[in-house]
Amino acid sequence: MRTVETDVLIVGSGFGAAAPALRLSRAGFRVTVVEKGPHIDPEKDFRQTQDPRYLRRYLKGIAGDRLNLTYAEGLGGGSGFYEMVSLRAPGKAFAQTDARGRRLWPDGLDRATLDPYYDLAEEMLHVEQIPVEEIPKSGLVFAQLMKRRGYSCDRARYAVKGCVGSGFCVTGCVFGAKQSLLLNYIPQAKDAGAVVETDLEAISIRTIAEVRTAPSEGPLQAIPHRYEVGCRRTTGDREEVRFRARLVILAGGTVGTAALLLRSKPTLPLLSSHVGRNIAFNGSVKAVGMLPDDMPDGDLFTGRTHPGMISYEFLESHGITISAVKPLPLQLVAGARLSAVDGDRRYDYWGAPNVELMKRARTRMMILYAIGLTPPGAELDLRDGDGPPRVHLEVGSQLSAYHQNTKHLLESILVRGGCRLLRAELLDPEGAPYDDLHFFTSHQVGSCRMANSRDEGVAGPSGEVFKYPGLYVTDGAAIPSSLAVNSSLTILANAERIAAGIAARHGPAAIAMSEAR
Amino acid sequence: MNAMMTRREMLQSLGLLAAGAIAGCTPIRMALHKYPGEFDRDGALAEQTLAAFVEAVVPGTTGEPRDLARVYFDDYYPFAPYRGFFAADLCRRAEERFGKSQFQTLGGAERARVIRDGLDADPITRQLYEGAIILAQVSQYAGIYNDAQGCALIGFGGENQGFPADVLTYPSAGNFLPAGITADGNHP
Repeated sequence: MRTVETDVLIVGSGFGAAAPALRLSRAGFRVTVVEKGPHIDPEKDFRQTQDPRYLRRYLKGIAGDRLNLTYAEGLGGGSGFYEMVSLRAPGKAFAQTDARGRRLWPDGLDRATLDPYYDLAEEMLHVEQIPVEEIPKSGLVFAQLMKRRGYSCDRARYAVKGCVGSGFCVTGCVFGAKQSLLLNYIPQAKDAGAVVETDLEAISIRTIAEVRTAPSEGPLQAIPHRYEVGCRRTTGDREEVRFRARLVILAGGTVGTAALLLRSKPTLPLLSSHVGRNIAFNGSVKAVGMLPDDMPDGDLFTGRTHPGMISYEFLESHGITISAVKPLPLQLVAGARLSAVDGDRRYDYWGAPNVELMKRARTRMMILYAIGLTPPGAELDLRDGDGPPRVHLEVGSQLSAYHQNTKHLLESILVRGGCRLLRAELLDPEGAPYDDLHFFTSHQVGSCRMANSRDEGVAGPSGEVFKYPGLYVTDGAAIPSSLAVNSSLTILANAERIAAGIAARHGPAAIAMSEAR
Repeated sequence: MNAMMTRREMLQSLGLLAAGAIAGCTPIRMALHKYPGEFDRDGALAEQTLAAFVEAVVPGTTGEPRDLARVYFDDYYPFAPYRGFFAADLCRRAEERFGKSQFQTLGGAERARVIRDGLDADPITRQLYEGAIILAQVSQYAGIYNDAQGCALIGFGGENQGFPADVLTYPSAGNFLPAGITADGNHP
């Protein structure tokens, strides 16, 4: 077994990891990043494909009883495969409360606190509002549908530079237009001295020094190597590597970070009981229709995957945002059965009727998608020590009502806009339609949430895990609530904020202060 | 990542679905049915039967039997070990329903009837047929074995270098847009 000493060990390489890797390397710390998934060279490895063999190399998931989670494993985390929508969470997201009326976000953390870090993240990722002349047809038709009803719609913001509109954002941009972390944070962190190891999974964490008596501020070199993280190579001979670090930053994603801490409970006995709980998931609801004859064509297969527009019209009243969706053919058939009775036409989920439906889908199908401020109610647990975690969601009356009301709203937008509804049955892992309410998300957050106290969450507002100084959570796991927009930019901004705090406590400023004393 | 199901979610379901088909089609069940081994021994026979199945699930698709049936011979998918059993089941049902022992000799409507029989059978058989249908659709609509070609049948062109402006958008884009309520796309 190899043993490596480092100042800062970062577990994961996605939106929660990239900012600490860059900022702390630049602050002069020895930083090591370990990523469970494979290395990705954005100039060579991405493909325009729907080959499951390729996609499942990077994209993973957990199918739960009422909730399915999807996430990426690979260098850069989800940044290589997301739709590059980069929106700030609305202020309303930060004001959400739990059943007892307590704010979900800890004191002192709100949109205004994050705004400077959003600025930083947007600058790094070249985030810009889409120009009118680049809005894909499906986005324009969606906007027109909303306009007909008198509803507002805004041009969305994206992390992209020089988009050619190939339509394959989610398989990895082969043109280098999508500003994944592979093009900015990660190479810059390497340039600043960070060591990045891929195909290396963190298995467990234990303390190797009396962590609570070590200084919480001041030069990092004055702090002992206090955590040991056991890792195992996911390829080849399954090499085991032991890292000893002064600081450990957990950024393996909402699933990965919670799983690691759950596995480490025997060696970190003072962890909060909230590890793995309180998962918020931007409850997504969809409705599908065929456009009326008097509306122009959309186009599912051309232009950026997220079609350019978002409506905040129902954010205040329903706690949701609405967009259109442009699925590739694989999505249309692999996860859902679409069928409909449309006048004299009957579309079925296979055979000639399905071919006709698929032929019309490209230009005439309109899929509305709402995500909302649903409460943090899902939970992860470990089936066995090394096995994959399971996810559970209790669907109470509030969540059922949310789903029903949102579905009704989306369908009414379609119908009142002249669309004919299609029936979409989402499929369970065995290929049968779910017969109960089921949510799907890749926006899961909060499994190790920040909170005011250990009784309410896992980490404090600084990202530091309660009772474990020097152990931080900086990824989606730390985000305490649904956001009603894609979570990536908020995760990155929050990670920037936490990294700035660490640098201030232990970096050059702290060293200067120490020397002055 | 916003999608009807997101792409990731759908891909996940695809993988699990294939695994589900395996779980439902255990060796015990196969032994109980004692299907003819010729479908395992004679790759061409299984190929022709399964290609006919793909043509029935995705009418209008074209190609050599080997290409149409390729997904069932692809060891990446857990369905592969059961293709012989499945092909035999199609032929058995063709015999029972129409007195023809080879599924591929049936007409389009007859093939569809046989498939419906399979879907109406016991839950395990239904699961097998559902898995086979989805693999047929995925392989054809998504063009998984030819990134460049895509699927002409549904107008999916596969990999590309981007599209000209008149394909991507409308020249009068501004006319489509309602008023926004934010200054820059971010809600305050």
